[in-house]
Amino acid sequence: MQRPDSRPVEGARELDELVLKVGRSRDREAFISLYKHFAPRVKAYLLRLGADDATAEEATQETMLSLWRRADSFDPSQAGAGTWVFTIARNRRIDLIRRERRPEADESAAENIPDPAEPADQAIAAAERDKRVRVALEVLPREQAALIEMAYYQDLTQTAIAAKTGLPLGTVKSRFRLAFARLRRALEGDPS
Amino acid sequence: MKRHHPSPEVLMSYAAGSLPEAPSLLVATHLAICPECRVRAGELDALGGAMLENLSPTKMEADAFDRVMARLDEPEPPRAPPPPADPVLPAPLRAYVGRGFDAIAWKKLGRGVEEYRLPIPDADSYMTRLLRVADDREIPTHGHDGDELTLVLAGGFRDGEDSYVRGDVASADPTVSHSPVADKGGECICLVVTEGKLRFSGLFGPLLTYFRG
Repeated sequence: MQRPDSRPVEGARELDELVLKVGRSRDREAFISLYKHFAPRVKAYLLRLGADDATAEEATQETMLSLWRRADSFDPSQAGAGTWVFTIARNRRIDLIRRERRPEADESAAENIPDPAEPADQAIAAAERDKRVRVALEVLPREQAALIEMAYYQDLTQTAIAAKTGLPLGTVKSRFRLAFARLRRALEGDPS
Repeated sequence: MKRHHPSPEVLMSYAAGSLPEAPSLLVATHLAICPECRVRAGELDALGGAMLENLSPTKMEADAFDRVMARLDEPEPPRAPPPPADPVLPAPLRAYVGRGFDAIAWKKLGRGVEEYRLPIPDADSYMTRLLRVADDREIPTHGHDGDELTLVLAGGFRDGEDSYVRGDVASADPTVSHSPVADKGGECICLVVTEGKLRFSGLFGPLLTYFRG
Protein backbone atom coordinates (compact mmCIF):
# COMPACT_ATOMS: atom_id res chain seq x y z
CA MET A 1 0.00 0.00 0.00
CA GLN A 2 3.04 2.28 -0.09
CA ARG A 3 2.13 5.16 -2.35
CA PRO A 4 4.74 7.21 -4.17
CA ASP A 5 3.31 10.47 -2.88
CA SER A 6 2.92 9.44 0.78
CA ARG A 7 4.57 11.99 2.93
CA PRO A 8 7.84 11.19 4.67
CA VAL A 9 7.70 11.06 8.45
CA GLU A 10 10.07 14.03 8.76
CA GLY A 11 7.39 16.18 7.14
CA ALA A 12 4.95 15.60 9.99
CA ARG A 13 6.92 17.72 12.45
CA GLU A 14 7.25 20.46 9.89
CA LEU A 15 3.45 20.56 9.46
CA ASP A 16 2.98 20.69 13.24
CA GLU A 17 5.34 23.66 13.38
CA LEU A 18 3.36 25.47 10.68
CA VAL A 19 0.06 25.03 12.55
CA LEU A 20 1.72 26.28 15.75
CA LYS A 21 2.90 29.38 13.89
CA VAL A 22 -0.64 30.10 12.69
CA GLY A 23 -1.90 29.60 16.25
CA ARG A 24 0.71 31.86 17.81
CA SER A 25 0.77 34.77 15.39
CA ARG A 26 -1.76 34.23 12.60
CA ASP A 27 1.19 33.66 10.29
CA ARG A 28 -0.19 33.87 6.72
CA GLU A 29 2.89 32.36 5.07
CA ALA A 30 2.56 29.32 7.32
CA PHE A 31 -1.14 29.10 6.49
CA ILE A 32 -0.38 29.19 2.74
CA SER A 33 2.02 26.24 3.11
CA LEU A 34 -0.63 24.34 5.07
CA TYR A 35 -3.25 25.18 2.47
CA LYS A 36 -1.05 23.86 -0.33
CA HIS A 37 -0.46 20.63 1.52
CA PHE A 38 -3.89 19.95 2.98
CA ALA A 39 -6.56 21.57 0.76
CA PRO A 40 -6.02 19.20 -2.23
CA ARG A 41 -6.06 16.20 0.15
CA VAL A 42 -9.15 17.33 2.04
CA LYS A 43 -10.93 17.87 -1.26
CA ALA A 44 -9.84 14.41 -2.42
CA TYR A 45 -11.20 12.99 0.84
CA LEU A 46 -14.57 14.70 0.34
CA LEU A 47 -14.80 13.57 -3.29
CA ARG A 48 -14.04 10.00 -2.23
CA LEU A 49 -16.99 10.30 0.14
CA GLY A 50 -19.27 11.16 -2.75
CA ALA A 51 -19.47 14.95 -2.61
CA ASP A 52 -19.81 16.73 -5.96
CA ASP A 53 -17.03 19.08 -6.98
CA ALA A 54 -18.70 22.33 -5.85
CA THR A 55 -19.69 20.91 -2.45
CA ALA A 56 -16.22 19.45 -1.94
CA GLU A 57 -14.69 22.86 -2.73
CA GLU A 58 -16.97 24.59 -0.25
CA ALA A 59 -16.39 22.10 2.55
CA THR A 60 -12.63 22.23 1.91
CA GLN A 61 -12.75 25.99 2.23
CA GLU A 62 -14.65 25.69 5.52
CA THR A 63 -12.14 23.13 6.78
CA MET A 64 -9.21 25.43 5.96
CA LEU A 65 -10.96 28.36 7.66
CA SER A 66 -11.52 26.23 10.76
CA LEU A 67 -7.81 25.36 10.72
CA TRP A 68 -7.01 29.10 10.61
CA ARG A 69 -9.41 29.96 13.42
CA ARG A 70 -8.73 27.07 15.75
CA ALA A 71 -4.99 26.77 15.30
CA ASP A 72 -4.57 28.29 18.79
CA SER A 73 -6.13 25.14 20.27
CA PHE A 74 -3.84 22.78 18.31
CA ASP A 75 -1.81 20.65 20.70
CA PRO A 76 0.85 18.48 19.04
CA SER A 77 1.15 16.38 22.19
CA GLN A 78 -2.45 15.22 21.54
CA ALA A 79 -2.34 14.70 17.77
CA GLY A 80 -0.16 15.62 14.80
CA ALA A 81 -1.31 18.14 12.19
CA GLY A 82 -2.47 15.46 9.73
CA THR A 83 -4.65 13.79 12.35
CA TRP A 84 -5.97 17.13 13.55
CA VAL A 85 -6.91 18.27 10.04
CA PHE A 86 -8.59 14.91 9.40
CA THR A 87 -10.85 15.42 12.45
CA ILE A 88 -11.78 18.93 11.29
CA ALA A 89 -12.56 17.74 7.74
CA ARG A 90 -14.55 14.78 9.06
CA ASN A 91 -16.63 17.00 11.36
CA ARG A 92 -17.21 19.70 8.72
CA ARG A 93 -18.41 17.02 6.32
CA ILE A 94 -20.90 15.61 8.83
CA ASP A 95 -22.06 19.14 9.54
CA LEU A 96 -22.27 20.55 5.99
CA ILE A 97 -22.90 17.48 3.85
CA ARG A 98 -24.63 14.91 6.02
CA ARG A 99 -26.38 17.73 7.88
CA GLU A 100 -26.10 16.08 11.26
CA ARG A 101 -24.52 17.24 14.45
CA ARG A 102 -21.26 15.67 15.51
CA PRO A 103 -21.29 14.87 19.22
CA GLU A 104 -17.76 15.19 20.61
CA ALA A 105 -16.17 14.84 24.01
CA ASP A 106 -14.04 17.95 24.30
CA GLU A 107 -10.59 16.64 25.19
CA SER A 108 -9.88 19.60 27.44
CA ALA A 109 -13.22 19.62 29.31
CA ALA A 110 -12.40 20.02 32.99
CA GLU A 111 -15.25 17.74 33.99
CA ASN A 112 -14.00 14.77 31.95
CA ILE A 113 -12.96 11.90 34.15
CA PRO A 114 -9.18 12.28 34.01
CA ASP A 115 -6.79 9.48 33.31
CA PRO A 116 -5.61 8.45 36.78
CA ALA A 117 -2.28 6.83 36.03
CA GLU A 118 -1.35 7.33 32.36
CA PRO A 119 -0.51 3.66 31.78
CA ALA A 120 2.68 3.15 29.80
CA ASP A 121 0.90 2.18 26.59
CA GLN A 122 -1.05 5.43 26.65
CA ALA A 123 2.01 7.56 27.14
CA ILE A 124 3.45 7.20 23.61
CA ALA A 125 4.02 10.63 22.15
CA ALA A 126 1.51 11.65 19.49
CA ALA A 127 4.19 11.84 16.79
CA GLU A 128 5.37 8.30 17.50
CA ARG A 129 1.76 7.10 17.61
CA ASP A 130 0.95 8.69 14.24
CA LYS A 131 4.06 7.11 12.72
CA ARG A 132 3.23 3.64 14.01
CA VAL A 133 -0.35 3.96 12.77
CA ARG A 134 0.94 4.86 9.29
CA VAL A 135 3.19 1.81 9.23
CA ALA A 136 0.41 -0.46 10.52
CA LEU A 137 -1.91 0.79 7.79
CA GLU A 138 0.66 -0.07 5.12
CA VAL A 139 0.96 -3.70 6.21
CA LEU A 140 -2.72 -4.32 6.95
CA PRO A 141 -4.15 -7.36 5.10
CA ARG A 142 -6.10 -6.28 2.03
CA GLU A 143 -9.49 -7.53 3.27
CA GLN A 144 -9.20 -5.51 6.49
CA ALA A 145 -7.88 -2.41 4.73
CA ALA A 146 -10.83 -2.57 2.32
CA LEU A 147 -13.35 -2.45 5.19
CA ILE A 148 -11.53 0.41 6.87
CA GLU A 149 -11.60 2.33 3.60
CA MET A 150 -15.35 1.73 3.35
CA ALA A 151 -15.85 3.13 6.84
CA TYR A 152 -13.52 6.13 6.41
CA TYR A 153 -14.14 6.93 2.72
CA GLN A 154 -17.64 5.73 1.92
CA ASP A 155 -19.62 6.74 4.98
CA LEU A 156 -20.97 3.21 5.33
CA THR A 157 -22.22 1.75 8.58
CA GLN A 158 -21.30 -1.86 9.27
CA THR A 159 -24.80 -2.94 8.30
CA ALA A 160 -24.41 -1.08 4.99
CA ILE A 161 -20.94 -2.58 4.45
CA ALA A 162 -22.41 -6.06 5.01
CA ALA A 163 -25.17 -5.36 2.48
CA LYS A 164 -22.75 -3.94 -0.09
CA THR A 165 -20.14 -6.69 0.16
CA GLY A 166 -22.57 -9.56 0.70
CA LEU A 167 -20.57 -10.57 3.79
CA PRO A 168 -22.46 -11.58 6.93
CA LEU A 169 -22.59 -8.73 9.48
CA GLY A 170 -20.67 -10.92 11.95
CA THR A 171 -17.80 -11.27 9.45
CA VAL A 172 -17.71 -7.50 8.91
CA LYS A 173 -17.56 -6.90 12.64
CA SER A 174 -14.87 -9.51 13.20
CA ARG A 175 -12.69 -8.03 10.42
CA PHE A 176 -12.98 -4.63 12.05
CA ARG A 177 -11.92 -6.21 15.32
CA LEU A 178 -8.93 -7.90 13.66
CA ALA A 179 -7.85 -4.61 12.10
CA PHE A 180 -8.24 -2.87 15.45
CA ALA A 181 -6.21 -5.59 17.19
CA ARG A 182 -3.39 -5.24 14.63
CA LEU A 183 -3.39 -1.51 15.11
CA ARG A 184 -3.19 -2.00 18.88
CA ARG A 185 -0.25 -4.39 18.52
CA ALA A 186 1.60 -1.96 16.24
CA LEU A 187 1.06 0.81 18.79
CA GLU A 188 2.43 -1.38 21.51
CA GLY A 189 5.57 -1.83 19.45
CA ASP A 190 4.87 -5.19 17.85
CA PRO A 191 4.37 -4.66 14.12
CA SER A 192 3.59 -8.32 13.26
CA MET B 1 -14.62 -5.03 38.50
CA LYS B 2 -14.70 -5.59 34.75
CA ARG B 3 -15.49 -2.41 32.84
CA HIS B 4 -17.57 -2.46 29.68
CA HIS B 5 -16.61 -0.33 26.66
CA PRO B 6 -18.12 0.21 23.23
CA SER B 7 -16.92 -2.45 20.77
CA PRO B 8 -13.84 -1.70 18.61
CA GLU B 9 -15.97 -1.57 15.48
CA VAL B 10 -18.30 1.03 16.98
CA LEU B 11 -15.34 3.18 18.08
CA MET B 12 -13.83 2.83 14.62
CA SER B 13 -17.04 3.91 12.88
CA TYR B 14 -17.25 6.89 15.24
CA ALA B 15 -13.70 7.94 14.37
CA ALA B 16 -14.33 7.40 10.66
CA GLY B 17 -17.38 9.66 10.85
CA SER B 18 -19.66 6.95 9.46
CA LEU B 19 -21.53 6.21 12.69
CA PRO B 20 -24.95 7.92 12.64
CA GLU B 21 -25.70 10.73 15.05
CA ALA B 22 -27.65 8.77 17.69
CA PRO B 23 -24.99 6.13 18.47
CA SER B 24 -22.30 8.83 18.05
CA LEU B 25 -23.93 10.73 20.90
CA LEU B 26 -23.66 7.66 23.11
CA VAL B 27 -20.00 7.14 22.16
CA ALA B 28 -19.12 10.81 22.78
CA THR B 29 -20.85 10.67 26.17
CA HIS B 30 -18.90 7.53 27.05
CA LEU B 31 -15.63 9.18 25.96
CA ALA B 32 -16.25 12.06 28.37
CA ILE B 33 -16.30 9.50 31.20
CA CYS B 34 -13.74 6.94 29.94
CA PRO B 35 -10.10 8.06 29.57
CA GLU B 36 -9.07 4.68 28.16
CA CYS B 37 -11.47 4.95 25.22
CA ARG B 38 -10.38 8.56 24.64
CA VAL B 39 -6.90 7.18 23.97
CA ARG B 40 -8.32 4.51 21.64
CA ALA B 41 -10.42 7.11 19.79
CA GLY B 42 -7.28 9.26 19.40
CA GLU B 43 -5.52 6.31 17.78
CA LEU B 44 -8.39 5.82 15.36
CA ASP B 45 -8.34 9.54 14.53
CA ALA B 46 -4.63 9.01 13.73
CA LEU B 47 -5.67 6.23 11.36
CA GLY B 48 -7.91 8.76 9.60
CA GLY B 49 -4.98 11.21 9.50
CA ALA B 50 -2.74 8.58 7.91
CA MET B 51 -5.40 7.81 5.31
CA LEU B 52 -5.83 11.50 4.51
CA GLU B 53 -2.07 11.80 3.94
CA ASN B 54 -2.20 8.75 1.65
CA LEU B 55 -4.77 10.26 -0.69
CA SER B 56 -3.47 11.63 -3.97
CA PRO B 57 -3.95 15.41 -3.90
CA THR B 58 -6.70 16.56 -6.24
CA LYS B 59 -6.91 19.73 -8.31
CA MET B 60 -8.47 22.77 -6.66
CA GLU B 61 -10.57 25.33 -8.56
CA ALA B 62 -8.45 28.18 -9.90
CA ASP B 63 -9.95 30.78 -7.56
CA ALA B 64 -10.18 28.55 -4.47
CA PHE B 65 -6.99 29.85 -2.89
CA ASP B 66 -7.92 33.53 -3.33
CA ARG B 67 -11.37 32.94 -1.92
CA VAL B 68 -10.00 31.37 1.26
CA MET B 69 -7.40 34.11 1.71
CA ALA B 70 -10.10 36.76 1.29
CA ARG B 71 -12.08 35.20 4.14
CA LEU B 72 -9.30 34.98 6.73
CA ASP B 73 -10.22 38.33 8.26
CA GLU B 74 -13.94 37.62 8.48
CA PRO B 75 -15.30 37.83 12.01
CA GLU B 76 -15.42 34.39 13.59
CA PRO B 77 -18.77 32.79 14.29
CA PRO B 78 -19.28 32.85 18.05
CA ARG B 79 -18.37 29.63 19.82
CA ALA B 80 -21.25 28.19 21.84
CA PRO B 81 -20.54 28.44 25.56
CA PRO B 82 -20.39 25.05 27.29
CA PRO B 83 -23.66 24.21 29.04
CA PRO B 84 -23.48 24.40 32.86
CA ALA B 85 -22.03 21.31 34.54
CA ASP B 86 -24.39 18.57 35.63
CA PRO B 87 -23.58 15.62 37.90
CA VAL B 88 -25.45 13.06 35.78
CA LEU B 89 -25.25 14.35 32.20
CA PRO B 90 -21.75 14.69 30.66
CA ALA B 91 -21.30 17.65 28.29
CA PRO B 92 -22.05 15.92 24.93
CA LEU B 93 -25.38 14.63 26.26
CA ARG B 94 -26.27 17.87 28.04
CA ALA B 95 -26.04 19.68 24.70
CA TYR B 96 -28.92 17.49 23.47
CA VAL B 97 -31.08 17.41 26.58
CA GLY B 98 -30.87 21.20 26.71
CA ARG B 99 -31.47 21.38 30.44
CA GLY B 100 -30.12 19.95 33.68
CA PHE B 101 -30.96 16.45 34.78
CA ASP B 102 -33.34 17.73 37.48
CA ALA B 103 -35.47 19.56 34.90
CA ILE B 104 -36.11 16.60 32.59
CA ALA B 105 -39.80 15.97 31.84
CA TRP B 106 -40.00 12.21 32.38
CA LYS B 107 -42.79 10.14 30.96
CA LYS B 108 -43.98 7.19 33.03
CA LEU B 109 -43.97 3.83 31.29
CA GLY B 110 -45.16 1.95 34.37
CA ARG B 111 -43.57 -0.81 36.48
CA GLY B 112 -41.00 1.60 37.89
CA VAL B 113 -39.70 2.74 34.49
CA GLU B 114 -39.71 6.28 33.11
CA GLU B 115 -38.31 7.56 29.84
CA TYR B 116 -37.31 10.77 28.12
CA ARG B 117 -36.89 10.70 24.35
CA LEU B 118 -34.12 12.80 22.91
CA PRO B 119 -34.83 14.97 19.88
CA ILE B 120 -32.47 13.49 17.27
CA PRO B 121 -33.44 13.94 13.63
CA ASP B 122 -32.83 10.37 12.40
CA ALA B 123 -35.63 9.11 14.65
CA ASP B 124 -36.81 6.76 11.90
CA SER B 125 -33.79 4.53 12.21
CA TYR B 126 -32.93 5.05 15.88
CA MET B 127 -34.76 5.54 19.12
CA THR B 128 -32.69 7.55 21.57
CA ARG B 129 -33.87 7.94 25.12
CA LEU B 130 -32.94 8.25 28.73
CA LEU B 131 -34.40 5.53 30.92
CA ARG B 132 -34.90 5.90 34.63
CA VAL B 133 -35.52 2.62 36.39
CA ALA B 134 -36.46 2.39 40.07
CA ASP B 135 -34.17 0.22 42.18
CA ASP B 136 -34.45 -3.51 41.75
CA ARG B 137 -37.02 -3.14 38.97
CA GLU B 138 -36.79 -4.99 35.71
CA ILE B 139 -36.67 -3.30 32.35
CA PRO B 140 -39.39 -5.06 30.29
CA THR B 141 -37.96 -8.04 28.36
CA HIS B 142 -37.41 -7.12 24.78
CA GLY B 143 -35.63 -8.05 21.59
CA HIS B 144 -34.78 -5.63 18.82
CA ASP B 145 -34.39 -5.55 15.07
CA GLY B 146 -30.99 -3.84 15.22
CA ASP B 147 -28.15 -3.22 17.66
CA GLU B 148 -28.85 -1.62 21.01
CA LEU B 149 -26.33 0.33 23.08
CA THR B 150 -26.92 1.21 26.72
CA LEU B 151 -24.70 3.61 28.65
CA VAL B 152 -25.09 3.81 32.43
CA LEU B 153 -25.14 7.39 33.76
CA ALA B 154 -26.10 6.72 37.38
CA GLY B 155 -26.73 3.68 39.55
CA GLY B 156 -26.20 0.35 37.89
CA PHE B 157 -27.85 -2.78 36.57
CA ARG B 158 -27.23 -6.48 36.19
CA ASP B 159 -27.86 -8.48 33.05
CA GLY B 160 -27.23 -12.17 33.56
CA GLU B 161 -23.64 -12.56 34.78
CA ASP B 162 -22.59 -9.00 33.96
CA SER B 163 -22.97 -5.89 36.04
CA TYR B 164 -22.78 -2.33 34.77
CA VAL B 165 -22.09 0.99 36.53
CA ARG B 166 -21.66 4.64 35.46
CA GLY B 167 -19.64 4.81 32.25
CA ASP B 168 -20.22 1.19 31.23
CA VAL B 169 -21.68 0.39 27.83
CA ALA B 170 -23.79 -2.71 27.22
CA SER B 171 -24.04 -3.82 23.59
CA ALA B 172 -26.81 -6.12 22.41
CA ASP B 173 -27.31 -7.36 18.88
CA PRO B 174 -30.62 -8.58 17.42
CA THR B 175 -30.04 -12.17 18.54
CA VAL B 176 -30.03 -11.12 22.20
CA SER B 177 -33.21 -11.04 24.19
CA HIS B 178 -32.29 -9.75 27.61
CA SER B 179 -33.86 -8.58 30.82
CA PRO B 180 -31.62 -6.19 32.70
CA VAL B 181 -32.47 -5.49 36.36
CA ALA B 182 -31.55 -2.25 38.14
CA ASP B 183 -29.29 -2.64 41.17
CA LYS B 184 -30.70 -2.39 44.66
CA GLY B 185 -30.12 0.78 46.64
CA GLY B 186 -30.90 3.51 44.11
CA GLU B 187 -32.43 4.24 40.74
CA CYS B 188 -30.58 3.50 37.52
CA ILE B 189 -30.29 6.14 34.77
CA CYS B 190 -29.22 5.03 31.29
CA LEU B 191 -28.88 6.44 27.81
CA VAL B 192 -30.29 3.82 25.43
CA VAL B 193 -29.87 3.95 21.65
CA THR B 194 -31.87 1.32 19.77
CA GLU B 195 -31.60 0.70 16.06
CA GLY B 196 -34.93 -0.24 14.47
CA LYS B 197 -38.03 -0.98 16.49
CA LEU B 198 -38.30 -2.75 19.82
CA ARG B 199 -40.10 -6.06 20.03
CA PHE B 200 -41.49 -6.53 23.47
CA SER B 201 -42.19 -10.06 24.55
CA GLY B 202 -43.89 -11.32 27.68
CA LEU B 203 -47.35 -10.55 29.02
CA PHE B 204 -47.33 -6.82 28.31
CA GLY B 205 -45.26 -7.07 25.13
CA PRO B 206 -47.92 -6.61 22.46
CA LEU B 207 -49.57 -3.88 24.51
CA LEU B 208 -46.32 -1.94 24.98
CA THR B 209 -45.48 -2.32 21.32
CA TYR B 210 -48.92 -0.94 20.47
CA PHE B 211 -48.52 2.12 22.68
CA ARG B 212 -44.98 2.81 21.55
CA GLY B 213 -45.55 2.25 17.84
